[in-house]
Amino acid sequence: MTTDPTPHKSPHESALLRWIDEMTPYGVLVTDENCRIQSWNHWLETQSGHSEASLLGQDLFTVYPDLVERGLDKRFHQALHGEVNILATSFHKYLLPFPSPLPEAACKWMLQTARIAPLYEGDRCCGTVILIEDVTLREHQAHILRRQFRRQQLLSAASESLLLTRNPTVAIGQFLVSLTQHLRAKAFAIYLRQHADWTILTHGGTGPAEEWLGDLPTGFLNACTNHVVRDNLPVIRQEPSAQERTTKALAGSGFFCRSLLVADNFLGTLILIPEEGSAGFTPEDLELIKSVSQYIAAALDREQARQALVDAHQNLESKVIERTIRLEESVQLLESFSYSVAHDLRAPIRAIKGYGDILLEDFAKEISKPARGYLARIRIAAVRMELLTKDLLSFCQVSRESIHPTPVNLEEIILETSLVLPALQNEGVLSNKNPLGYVKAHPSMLRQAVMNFLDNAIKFKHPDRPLKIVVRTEPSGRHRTKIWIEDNGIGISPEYHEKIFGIFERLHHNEDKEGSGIGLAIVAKSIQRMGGSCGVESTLGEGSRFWIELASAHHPKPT
Amino acid sequence: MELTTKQADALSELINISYARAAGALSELTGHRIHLEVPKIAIHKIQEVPTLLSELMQGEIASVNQTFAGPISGNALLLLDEKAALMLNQLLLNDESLETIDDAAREVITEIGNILLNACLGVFGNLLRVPVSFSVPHIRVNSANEIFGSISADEEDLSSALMVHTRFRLPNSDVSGYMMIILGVVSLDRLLLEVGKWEERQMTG
Repeated sequence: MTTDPTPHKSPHESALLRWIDEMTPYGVLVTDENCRIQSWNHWLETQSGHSEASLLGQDLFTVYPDLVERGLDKRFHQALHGEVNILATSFHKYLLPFPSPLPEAACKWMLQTARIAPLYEGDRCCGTVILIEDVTLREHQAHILRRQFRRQQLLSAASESLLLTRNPTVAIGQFLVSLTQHLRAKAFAIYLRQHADWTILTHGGTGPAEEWLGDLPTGFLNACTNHVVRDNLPVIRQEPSAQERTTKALAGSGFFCRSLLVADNFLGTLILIPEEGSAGFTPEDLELIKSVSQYIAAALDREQARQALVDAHQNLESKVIERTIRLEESVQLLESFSYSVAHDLRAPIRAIKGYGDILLEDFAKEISKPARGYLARIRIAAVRMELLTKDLLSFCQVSRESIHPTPVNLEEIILETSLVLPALQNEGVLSNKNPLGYVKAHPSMLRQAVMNFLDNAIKFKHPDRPLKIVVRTEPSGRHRTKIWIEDNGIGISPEYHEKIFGIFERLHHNEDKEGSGIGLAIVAKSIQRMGGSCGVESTLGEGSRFWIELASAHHPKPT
Repeated sequence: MELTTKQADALSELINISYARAAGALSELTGHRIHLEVPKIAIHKIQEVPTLLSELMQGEIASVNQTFAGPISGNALLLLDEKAALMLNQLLLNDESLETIDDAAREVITEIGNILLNACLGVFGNLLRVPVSFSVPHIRVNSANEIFGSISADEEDLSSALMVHTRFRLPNSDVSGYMMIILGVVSLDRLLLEVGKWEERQMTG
């Protein structure tokens, strides 16, 4: 407090000034227009270690030259021109360098916010008044809160991205970059075990650390891993040996390693390298590393399980492909065999039939009647065999022939078939509900199929009424046509509706009718090869409705 | 009342001069290259201001308020909405971790406002040859309506607000706010008179 109080101050003003000097918890100092110290309050004396008496009249910038070094003398001069100046701690840290009240804070100087204002005597600016506030504790607490908040953010980011990601390696890499920044670490790496093989899954960091981290000597990595497994501590600090330090990769400070465990499944190690010269990681940091590593382990575990599933699936698929090829080969072999057998049987069968005929015709007088009877039976059997082999050959033929479906006019097909079957040429037997349209088919195979159905209709006509067959078509699904061949014959009972299309299946009560039983099987196979399907709807005693379903076609345009 | 084109141009020029000084100081302070731009200037009746501010800015508004006295007197304010205030803090301090306007952030905005307003009021004083004295800047963070509770006048009823749209231009981003100078009728007349005189001096000088 200056010893020369201005004469016109009231007692209250003087008391106030004394209060400000002694008790205020802020620094208050006054300079004259030449920046010489005029007043230095009690707080300033305590913090600076200088008494007011020793500083009175001194040039502020001589006592504190770093004000000039930092360019803050300008602010004082601006104040002398009438401007009030605020100096925020975030920009300047402090105005006057005093030791920090908080030894544990990062900065060794007290953090301050300052205000510099002009002092007026009437109209003239006669000096400055400066107020200094200690904000060290406030900033320290804010810093702690921010770090806590950031930790929370990282943990929730970890759980969100790592537990849901489809690409764990990338997500982990990205996450670890944020974590490394928060921890003020230099670099990170994950040493991962994959099928008894150890590799560095991902690594990153700032500057050169990132490059050599990929080349960490495996000896060191194995040592980290072994210790982590053996000690089973939250995080262990691994110092490279003196010899290891000679390699560029390990020249820096110690490494922090944390195991990545899921249940008992040991997946690998997370390695973090703190900044050089730093004390390492705080207990809160270590807790964070521990939590985060659990998320990382979970994500990696999921990834490994998923990959195992994909591998198994691919394995299975290739097995299936292999088996299908072998199966197709077998089928082809079988079909070839059937064809050869049927083909080769024709000659001997013809021989039996032929020689039988010769015996019956040329040697009739020399053979007894009973013998002639047996010969006739042999001939009938041979005829049957011939029919059977012929049908078998047809069946095999259907499989072997190459099919190129073309548009076929259904009305023409019906007409052609009806010309071949005499029973259909009578009035009123066969009628079409025209127009029948076109389908994509192999013409002769379709003709054969239609003929087969019409033939069946004729064969199984009802004894009590005249045969009537109706042929119609209807659309069936997208670009498909269903052809119906409906008769009023004796019908087929439901349990045989599928069986009749099988090879050698015959309806028991129709054994007396002609036929090898293979006709409809050939039809079914040929329609299948044309890309269609067929079937029957029928009620015993009421007639049958055979259907064929094929791809629709249009009248081919004239070329 | 409306500014004539001539008046608006002259005022813009004056403010640009003061902003150049402020931008220089801010650049030196923060180590970033900062430019300050004035896209628009307008005069409004003071009653219109709360509504105007609610339209222009979202949420709470940080205002740094400095009163000035002399032949021209009134309030000078820097207005930044919460988002702009945070962004400015983050950009200038290279610290993206800031989430709310805490004490340290308020101090930063106060210093920035202080530098800006001092520059403008200083220029008015020097160039217009009108002596102006400054007060201590105060910062508040509140709604558009509440800002007017904090405005006071020494002598006259304040009636007009000069709104200066201010853009802080940094290398990779922009932050926008408003400088608002609130004056009474007499001060406004005097200001415009002095501006006119200054302009003439420019022409003849």
